[in-house]
Amino acid sequence: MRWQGAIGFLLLLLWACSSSDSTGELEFRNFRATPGKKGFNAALYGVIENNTDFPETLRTVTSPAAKVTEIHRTVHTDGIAMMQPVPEGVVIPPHSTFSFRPGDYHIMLIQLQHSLQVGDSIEVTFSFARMAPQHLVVPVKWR
Amino acid sequence: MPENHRPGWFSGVLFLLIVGILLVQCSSEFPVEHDLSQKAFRLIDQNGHSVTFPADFRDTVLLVAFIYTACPDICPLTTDRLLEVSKRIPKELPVRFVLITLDPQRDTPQQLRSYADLYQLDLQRWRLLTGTIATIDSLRSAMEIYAVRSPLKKLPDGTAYYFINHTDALCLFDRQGRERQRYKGSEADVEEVVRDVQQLLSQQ
Repeated sequence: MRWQGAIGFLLLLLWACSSSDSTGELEFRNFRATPGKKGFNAALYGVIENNTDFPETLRTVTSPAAKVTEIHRTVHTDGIAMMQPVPEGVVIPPHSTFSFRPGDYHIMLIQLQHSLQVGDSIEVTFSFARMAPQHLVVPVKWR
Repeated sequence: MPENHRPGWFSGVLFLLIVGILLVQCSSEFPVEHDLSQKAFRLIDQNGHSVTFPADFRDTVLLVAFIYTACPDICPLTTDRLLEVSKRIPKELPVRFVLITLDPQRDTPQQLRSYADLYQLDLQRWRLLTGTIATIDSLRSAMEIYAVRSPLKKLPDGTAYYFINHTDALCLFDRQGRERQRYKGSEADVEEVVRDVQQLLSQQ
């Protein structure tokens, strides 16, 4: 039985190594969804790090938590906050990071399918131009 | 060209009057930005009760922010800033916190109550206000608050949705219903706002 356990451990190690390779190319840091009531809108914030030698484009983000998910940017002009959709996605230069943060680029969760409270988590899929989609489980919290 | 028949002393008095007004304005730390003391806007609070703004808040210092509940990015920041300010101001002081919607069409009293619930606002000190489109427009105009809808988009189920481009403002009102200071709501410096509230309280 001991050798079966060892094989299981090696398989687990192999899986862990392969998954760390894929996350090594793109890293997702501190992603969080803001709380919201059912039917409200909420936002996703966090940082994507591109560790490859190529620029990568985040094309779309989807989540079953909202009816629609869009990439937006808030722009301030003469004291007025304006929401600008970014349907073309955002480019993350090689060996750089891209931040989605309050008052700037953010991912909007439009019309939540159910209420999100601090402590909940939601599934989110990030789709890229080059790389395979990345699936994340994102916690719900204010900051 | 018409001749000026005014006596010399008239120009002197006029000059002194202008200098006097300027001195009073400059000596005030919080000049009046918008005077609503003689205006009355009939609004509705989160419980469906009628509120006359700003008369019903007379004798309290007010912090007023313009938000809408479907706003996912800027308004939560402003609400969060104002919430932080409220936590630093003792409850016994005559200070109230008011959120006025920029989206009266969607922000019903019930929707405002949900928003208050989401942020766990203490409704003893906070009021969330909506009203008719005409009244909200009139109030915005009096305070020079800009708000314009984005183009309509549709959800997969056909429901239309929109956002609002708007002035990012947090406004400090004195006890007479006059706006005395304005901050960028989403980036308001909590310590600065608290300091200004205390200073305004001590002046009146």
